[in-house]
Amino acid sequence: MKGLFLKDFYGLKAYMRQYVILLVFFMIFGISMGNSHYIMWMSLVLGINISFSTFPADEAGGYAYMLSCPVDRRTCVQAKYMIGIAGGALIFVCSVIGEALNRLSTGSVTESWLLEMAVVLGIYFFFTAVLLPVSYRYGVEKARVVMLGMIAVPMVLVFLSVKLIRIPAITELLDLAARTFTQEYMFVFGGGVFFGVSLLLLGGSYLLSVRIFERKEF
Amino acid sequence: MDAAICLKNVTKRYGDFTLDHITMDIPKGCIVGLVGENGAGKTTLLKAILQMVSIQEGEILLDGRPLADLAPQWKEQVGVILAGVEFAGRMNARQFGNCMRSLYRNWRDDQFEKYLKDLQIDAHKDIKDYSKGMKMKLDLAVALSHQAKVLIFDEATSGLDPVVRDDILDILLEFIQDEEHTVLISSHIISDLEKVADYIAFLHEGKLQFFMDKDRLLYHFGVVRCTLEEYKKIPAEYVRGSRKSQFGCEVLICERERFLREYPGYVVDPADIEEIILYHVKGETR
Repeated sequence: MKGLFLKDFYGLKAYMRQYVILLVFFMIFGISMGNSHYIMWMSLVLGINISFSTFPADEAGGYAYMLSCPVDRRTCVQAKYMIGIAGGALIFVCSVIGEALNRLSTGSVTESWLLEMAVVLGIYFFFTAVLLPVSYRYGVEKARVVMLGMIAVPMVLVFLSVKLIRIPAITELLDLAARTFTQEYMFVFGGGVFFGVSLLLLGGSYLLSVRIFERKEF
Repeated sequence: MDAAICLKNVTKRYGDFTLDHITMDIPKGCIVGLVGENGAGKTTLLKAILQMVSIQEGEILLDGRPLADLAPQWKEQVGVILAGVEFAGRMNARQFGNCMRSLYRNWRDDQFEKYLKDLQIDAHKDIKDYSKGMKMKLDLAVALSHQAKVLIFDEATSGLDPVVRDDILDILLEFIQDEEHTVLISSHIISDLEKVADYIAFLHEGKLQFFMDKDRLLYHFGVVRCTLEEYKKIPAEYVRGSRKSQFGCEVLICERERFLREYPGYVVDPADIEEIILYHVKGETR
């Protein structure tokens, strides 16, 4: 598997300078606004981007080459999921650095930082869980379209249901939730449970990707 | 002679194309040239051997053992070049070697370095900036640096200049000096195969037309140049293809020696591999 990691690492190395510049920019911008959430959410976008930037080279011949080597298909998929998990670790590290710099410069502590981190990582793993099998089955370009859909569709639905249509059931549900639970409790629910469910989904997604990749022909 | 790779009724269907019940034993210590027009099934056959595509019928054996029963590590024994297939362009040859070292247990750095030097490969330049010939040389260096016993090359010499092609063919001839080594190479450049191949396998529309010792193949077929009237007298069992022109007929016949004994009045010229294939593909038959 090390050889497969190295392949992706060398591929990513070419873009490393751009990634570092972007991260530094996000940190400076976030600190100047006194907002450590900013770096957290921007690292999420960057993490997803990094995870999927290794796919085009694989689709252009990398998969076929790997399979001419003594590597089984399951290992190829494992390597990609490990890269995905490494992307999650990168988001975490960047967010910790962002928060540390924020505390140093402003002296204030971001409320519910850990819970928000869980939400961000939950979103990242949820996206990874959905997009990796889509990439294996339909290619990375179609996965990008799905990713845009995953961002746009919930936003549009929430906007339509709450602001325009004012569906009573949803607004009532939100009101009820606000009356019943404290904000922290909702965060715990949203963060902890969502993070756990996303991790479970990632496991299922891995099994699905293995199944897809084992049937794929090159 | 032991078979390095044994194909038994290998069948693969893709829409309206069928690689149709291919059966052949690829002997050890030989270079086997796989020829056929575009879409004949050469690449599909090589990919079936490498388990990149699944087969619907038949069996493939490596050293007498079914591939389906072998762990992926059997590919340690195989060096592969597939035209147009790149591992990753955004790395240099040394980094490529680092990846391969981790994938092959029998990887030999010294051998890889030797090939980089001998084949004059720039180890510091990104592979994406290499010429086609340079990429092919690098793939060759990799294929030969992990103590492979079998080389499977798909169109490895296509699109390369004669000097690079000659280098590659020399390396193949050197590789085959070990009787346990085997080369299976597909190419459109028949002259290359004529130089190095011991056996020729000819695929046409997914079917194996013949798999023959090259010398026997050249001895077996001949081209008769005759009039239309003389052509009509040749029994159909000998005719493999013909071309008619205003000056007469050219007929590819098989079993040249027997034909000459039975029809001594005809002039039969030796046929080269290219002619044999062209007559099979484009020539008229009765």
